[in-house]
Amino acid sequence: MKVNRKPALDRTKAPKPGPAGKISFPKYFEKKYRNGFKIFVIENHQLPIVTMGFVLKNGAAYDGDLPGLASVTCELLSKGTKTRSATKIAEEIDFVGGSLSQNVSWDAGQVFVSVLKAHLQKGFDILRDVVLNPTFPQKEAERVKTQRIAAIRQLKADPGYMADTTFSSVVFGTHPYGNTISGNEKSVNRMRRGDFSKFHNAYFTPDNSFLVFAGDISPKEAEKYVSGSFAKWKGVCKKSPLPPLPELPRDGHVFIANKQGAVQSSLRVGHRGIARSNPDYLKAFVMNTILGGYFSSRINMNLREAHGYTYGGRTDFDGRIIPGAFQASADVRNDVTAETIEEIVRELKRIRETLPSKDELTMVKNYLTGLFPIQLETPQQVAGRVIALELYDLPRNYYRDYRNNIGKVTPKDIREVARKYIDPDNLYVVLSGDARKIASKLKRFGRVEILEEDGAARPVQKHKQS
Amino acid sequence: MIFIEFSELTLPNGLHVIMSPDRSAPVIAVDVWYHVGSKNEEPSRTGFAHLFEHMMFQGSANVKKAEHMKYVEEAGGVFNGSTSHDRTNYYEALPSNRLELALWLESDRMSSLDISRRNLDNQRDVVKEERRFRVDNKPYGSAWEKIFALAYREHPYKWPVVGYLEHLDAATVNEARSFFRKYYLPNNAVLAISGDFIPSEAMKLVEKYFGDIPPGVVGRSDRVAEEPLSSQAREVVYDNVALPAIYMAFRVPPMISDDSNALNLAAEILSKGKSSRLYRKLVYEKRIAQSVGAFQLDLEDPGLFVVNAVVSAGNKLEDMEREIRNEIRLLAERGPRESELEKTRNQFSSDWVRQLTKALGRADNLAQFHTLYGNAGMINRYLDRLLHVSGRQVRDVTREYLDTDNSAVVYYYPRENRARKR
Repeated sequence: MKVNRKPALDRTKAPKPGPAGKISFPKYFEKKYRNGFKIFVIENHQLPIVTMGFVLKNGAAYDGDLPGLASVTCELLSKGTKTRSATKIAEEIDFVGGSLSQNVSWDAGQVFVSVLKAHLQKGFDILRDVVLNPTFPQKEAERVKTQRIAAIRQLKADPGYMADTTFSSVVFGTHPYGNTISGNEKSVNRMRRGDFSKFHNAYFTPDNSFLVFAGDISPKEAEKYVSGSFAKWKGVCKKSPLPPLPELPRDGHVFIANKQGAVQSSLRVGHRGIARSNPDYLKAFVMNTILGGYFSSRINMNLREAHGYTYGGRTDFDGRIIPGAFQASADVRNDVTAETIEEIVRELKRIRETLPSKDELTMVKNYLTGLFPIQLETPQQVAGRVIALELYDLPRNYYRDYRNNIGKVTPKDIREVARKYIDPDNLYVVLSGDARKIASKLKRFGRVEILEEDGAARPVQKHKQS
Repeated sequence: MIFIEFSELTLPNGLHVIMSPDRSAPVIAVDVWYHVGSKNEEPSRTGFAHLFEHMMFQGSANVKKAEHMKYVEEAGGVFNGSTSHDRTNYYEALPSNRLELALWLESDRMSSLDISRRNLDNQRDVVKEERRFRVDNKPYGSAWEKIFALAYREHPYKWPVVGYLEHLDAATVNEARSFFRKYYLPNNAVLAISGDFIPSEAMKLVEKYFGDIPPGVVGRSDRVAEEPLSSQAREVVYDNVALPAIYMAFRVPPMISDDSNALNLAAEILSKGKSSRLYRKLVYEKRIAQSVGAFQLDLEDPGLFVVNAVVSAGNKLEDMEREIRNEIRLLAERGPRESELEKTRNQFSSDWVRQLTKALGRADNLAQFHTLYGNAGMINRYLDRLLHVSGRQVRDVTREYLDTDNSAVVYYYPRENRARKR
């Protein structure tokens, strides 16, 4: 068959975008009950599935002198209630094909249940029961503690875990943030049954928690469930504010969590960062994206694509209720450890010294604003954002105006927040790796302290209390 | 439960196109699957398919090094690629007004990948770091590699997808070019598009960008027949781990078989959720294990059913292995209870809905069913097939495949244990 030849396609230019789709933060329902309890409903009937998230408005930062307490307490919620044994809970949720999971962060404790619409009543019933009526049975507590201690021992073999825990202890000293969310072997061993019920009584109250429904459910249905349970819940939370961060000596140490035979250094370089509710947060977030927050970022392009030092390099600001950490991280082969630190320091200096080009900033703005609809594709993703709004007390129009506000950030803003929140002269350099192979080359970054493998993750270092 | 609408056609050059519109979110996913994986590699060049996946981001005739990522990210999208034993894929998820960009990028690298020495050297370094990060420096990171090496003697599944360092070192630019010519052909690929788009318009764009890419002769390697494991294969590894662990693998039929479906149910009954048999018995009641899992690995050629478990402090791997085999034996003798079957069906149903929530999940499933099952329409029948597996079938496959002689077993011990033994 003879075919008319079309002119050859010009492939040299990237296609232009078509008209943009309508993008807005989805509407959601919010209600506060008399006892202070709040619910949020993100209604979306696309698929016959519902996710429910109970959120406690404080997490591991309130562990007190028992690191890991919030985390172990939340794990124990599903190990026995007034009317259900651990086995019964497992059987009931598994039988309907549902999932029940707990997650504890520094600022929150969360219990999630996800079920098909057909099993919504059962799913809600289990969630309500484990949150409101846990009994923390002695046998179950022992079981979970033994498991947890073994899990921590296992984690200690992981270089990433060692780098993370050492970095936190160095950067936050005696503050709760200097501990580990999952606890340590000693603290978990010391936990008693009374500690769990005390934590539960103190913080699991209607005014210190809320519930988010997302998916195939209407506000009316959600209210029906809540009115007979959480709406009648009594209690008041007397939570004291978090302690301020202690002052630390600033004499540029290098800490190596020694791991003999390691073939890579797991690197963390940084210092304290910024609180989530800080009005500069969004600007710092955009700045961080340029620096190390996406694939095309400076750090990743430098360390991975230009030098081939690592599978990936990145930077993060961990915004929490009070400032979390700022860190650059990468896993690199032993013989380029010092070179990698140098490149990281170079990038931290550069973003403070020179303005980003208009093109570079525009690219990041396009990235962040374009990504927004992909980040909101499912009702569960939207729920994650709604939880952040409530947890960090952000303005209710935060996500409505998010794309707009990103658009307003200027090159000068980037340099200004870089100067304010990144301090290349006072970095903590922490890594997990083979000290024999790397220590001698790291002296140029400060005094090198080597922490032995089975020693405590916390280095011997005196922190001045403010 | 849910029905995925889609249409498909094959272009004259052999490219298979699947389109599944769903306008609920202003997002599109473009997913290209090439039917090539590590099993197509030369035995002296393991890791090549995966190294090549990295090269696919290094530039083509009209897209310079690292520009692919830049174009996608600047459009507000995400991208990645993945390589398995059987196939390699590349995807972008983007705002729906950037479909044309994704098609331009994917067609440019399909037609004119730029394979240079410099890029190969750079990505070889990156892949070596990836291997160190995921395999050599991670506790139990080498387990899958060990278990595949033990379970297969002839078949290319015996080597790891990420490859061995010395083979990565030996790879040349010419080999990369010839690999590209052999496998990265429109007639060895499927293009799946899902999300917010209009199929008739999208089809015009697909023809515009992919229509003139010439087909070629797809490199075919002969299927390697593998004798059944007639006795146990065992290995002991001393490594950077805190607790001893076991990895056991049983050889099973290819993913497309009915037996494979039934084995999926067996895996679920044995280890999904805290009410599953292995968790309940080993972790909860006897407290002999710290954690346990069972997986049916879906592979195009005869695959593996893997059970792994970490022993709890003070217990022995030998005892734990006996308990695992005992639970398997009980399932093989008596089959599952009716309530277990119903539970498993409920679990498959809700997991299935979760998998198809995002545009990318739908595209990925469609491309997978076409590539590995030869039929994208399986997406609307697959769940049903699982739901119709009977208890008798589960019992029979457990009996037939999960027996002691058909297994390869790797024991992991902390490095210190070896020192102590001496």
